[in-house]
Amino acid sequence: MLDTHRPQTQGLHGIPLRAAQHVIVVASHGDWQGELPLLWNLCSAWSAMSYSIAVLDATAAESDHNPGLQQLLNNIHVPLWDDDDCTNWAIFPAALGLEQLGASVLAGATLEPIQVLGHLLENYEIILIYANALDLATCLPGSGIEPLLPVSMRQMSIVPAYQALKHLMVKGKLHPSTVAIVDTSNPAHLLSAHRVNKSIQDCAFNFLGEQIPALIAPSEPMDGQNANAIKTLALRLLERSVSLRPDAFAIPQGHTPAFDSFPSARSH
Amino acid sequence: MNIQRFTAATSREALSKARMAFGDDTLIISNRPTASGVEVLAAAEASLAEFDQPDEPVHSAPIAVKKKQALAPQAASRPSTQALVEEDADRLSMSTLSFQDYVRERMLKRRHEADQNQASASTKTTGARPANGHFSVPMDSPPQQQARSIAPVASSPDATQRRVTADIADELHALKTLIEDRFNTLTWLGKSSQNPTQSSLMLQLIRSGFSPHLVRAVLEKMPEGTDATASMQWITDVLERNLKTDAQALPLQEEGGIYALVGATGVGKTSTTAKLAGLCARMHGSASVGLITLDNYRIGAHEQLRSYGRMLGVVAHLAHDRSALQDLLGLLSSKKMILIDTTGISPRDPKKREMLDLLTLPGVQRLLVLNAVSHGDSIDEVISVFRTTGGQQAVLSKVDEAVKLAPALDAVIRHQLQLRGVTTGQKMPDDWERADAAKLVKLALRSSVKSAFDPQISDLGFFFSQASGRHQGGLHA
Repeated sequence: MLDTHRPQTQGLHGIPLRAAQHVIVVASHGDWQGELPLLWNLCSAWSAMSYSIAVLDATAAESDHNPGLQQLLNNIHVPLWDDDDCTNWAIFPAALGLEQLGASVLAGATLEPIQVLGHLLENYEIILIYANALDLATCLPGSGIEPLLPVSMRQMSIVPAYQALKHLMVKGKLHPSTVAIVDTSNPAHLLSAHRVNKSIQDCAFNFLGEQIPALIAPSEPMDGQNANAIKTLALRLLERSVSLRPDAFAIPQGHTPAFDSFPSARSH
Repeated sequence: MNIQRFTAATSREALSKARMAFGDDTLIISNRPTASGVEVLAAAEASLAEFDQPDEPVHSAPIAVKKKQALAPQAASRPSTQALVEEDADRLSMSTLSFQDYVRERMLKRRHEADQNQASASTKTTGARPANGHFSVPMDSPPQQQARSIAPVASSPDATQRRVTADIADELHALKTLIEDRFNTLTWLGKSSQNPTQSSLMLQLIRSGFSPHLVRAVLEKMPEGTDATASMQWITDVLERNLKTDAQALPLQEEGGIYALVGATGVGKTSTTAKLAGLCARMHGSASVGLITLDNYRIGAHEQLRSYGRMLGVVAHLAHDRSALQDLLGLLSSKKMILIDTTGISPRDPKKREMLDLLTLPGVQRLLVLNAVSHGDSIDEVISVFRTTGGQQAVLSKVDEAVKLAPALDAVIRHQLQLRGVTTGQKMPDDWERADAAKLVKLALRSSVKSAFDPQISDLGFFFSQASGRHQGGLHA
């Protein structure tokens, strides 16, 4: 008898235009020490919100032993990344796959790369693309994505970061945001982060003609305040992500997911 | 890296000099005004290639190390900043981690830390227990130390005498007012009881749950000589006219704007937020809605709103303070409707001021959620506490659960709130209705439930003994 009751939220499920997937992009400029902890923190925050995440790491190349996006694109079976603790993440190397997608754009493919990725990874609610800025500018030009560009507080980071920013804006016609990664236990870092953000924003405004958002994030969520800052950034990225809706693209014939079906880890 | 400085009278000239030197791939590093014009620091993008890491960092590591060794004698003579840059560059080029490897490392570290914590926790537990098995609890300081001495207030006999006289005068004045009110009420009651129609209407309205204040205010203005049917119709019309709704305006979800749902605990603010978000998403798409919660107090508050949001494809943000709220309002400024769910606060909680101040931002309208099930006095208190300057808007929740709707409508009329909608059940988002004054008044007057709390006609004197005929706001007959 209880089975006949409609759940309270059935009406919300019935709303036709609900988003299915979020595509988020983190641009790399080789500053691994700032970028990898940021990726980890973001994935942990989304995971804690019970989102299922697929990370396409285009800074690592696919291989027979470590298949990834290229194999997915070519309908080759890709096993799920096996780590007991990462129950709702999967990380796929994607350097060659992203290149392949970029080539298909140049060849005039009918589907946008993001739509292809959305279809291939349809069981994941968040698709995080982590790739070199130049590759992103080549592969996803004018796609409307707003890549996040991490800048660590090392003296080496700011110039390559600005170079990456220029690639994204000029070659890719994308609208990036920067995030300064700071060690919040060091007050000098926080001050430097503001200076770095201001410098990059000024350069982008003066020479590239665009005002870019510049954020600050802690390198490690050691305490509640830092954890909240990471959570806020994770939610902000979701808000500014490209949303792929189920009815937004046609499913290409013969393109079936070539990897293990992901058991949706949702609590509701 | 080849960085060059270019000076010229204007930025344009300095930039063209830089372009002449480095071509189209000029990378401008800085630009600052000088006494003679503008100074631009620029480099060629190609010269930055050395900083870009190849996809095979494993192979690059030895090269980097060799390079470091080769450069070591030169580096010693360079300024310290340059040395730091070199170190950074070497560290970058030596990185061999992919994100997969990095995650594996972090997982191992996390497991290791968890094991260590577990071990240390068990050690502490056993270590903290004394030999006799009892935990020592720090005792509070003795009551003698906590007792505070209250110094007697010294005052002259004349001042005391004057204060006593003033107190007596105040009391006498209050007594006089009370007696006058009481006599006025008795006179009015006496007159009303002579009129069977008015008497019966009075009892019916009181039994429905309307306050003696409002009942008297309405009945005093009723034209004399009206028969029973016409009287009831007249009262219904008066109540409908005085119950302000948004019938003439667009519904909330069509009008859009920034709304903060405020109210006491457990009145249904989060559910109402989700309903409004659902209605707006249904009409304008999920991209039209922004959700923010300020509720970081109740366990699972953010998670609850996020769950509703996810079903709609809307991200539910959490704002911990005013600046975070302002940032989020900026981030969501393109949305048609932004809904802010707030922490439910008891009207007597001192934290309420803090929370209400947080919402005092340009463009943020407060939507007071009132529980239709609550007692009239409770609703009155909530409205008084959450009252804001300017027009106050309200939503009546749990209308389906209310045995008597009149207390809530009475409070809304007396406080002259604008009712923007009612919630009539738990279904999302369907159990939401626009406020329809005629329907609500009819529902309030229809109450035919026999209740142990219903007064008898002989009890009316007690009811009106406190009703002085004054009430908040004006009533339009």
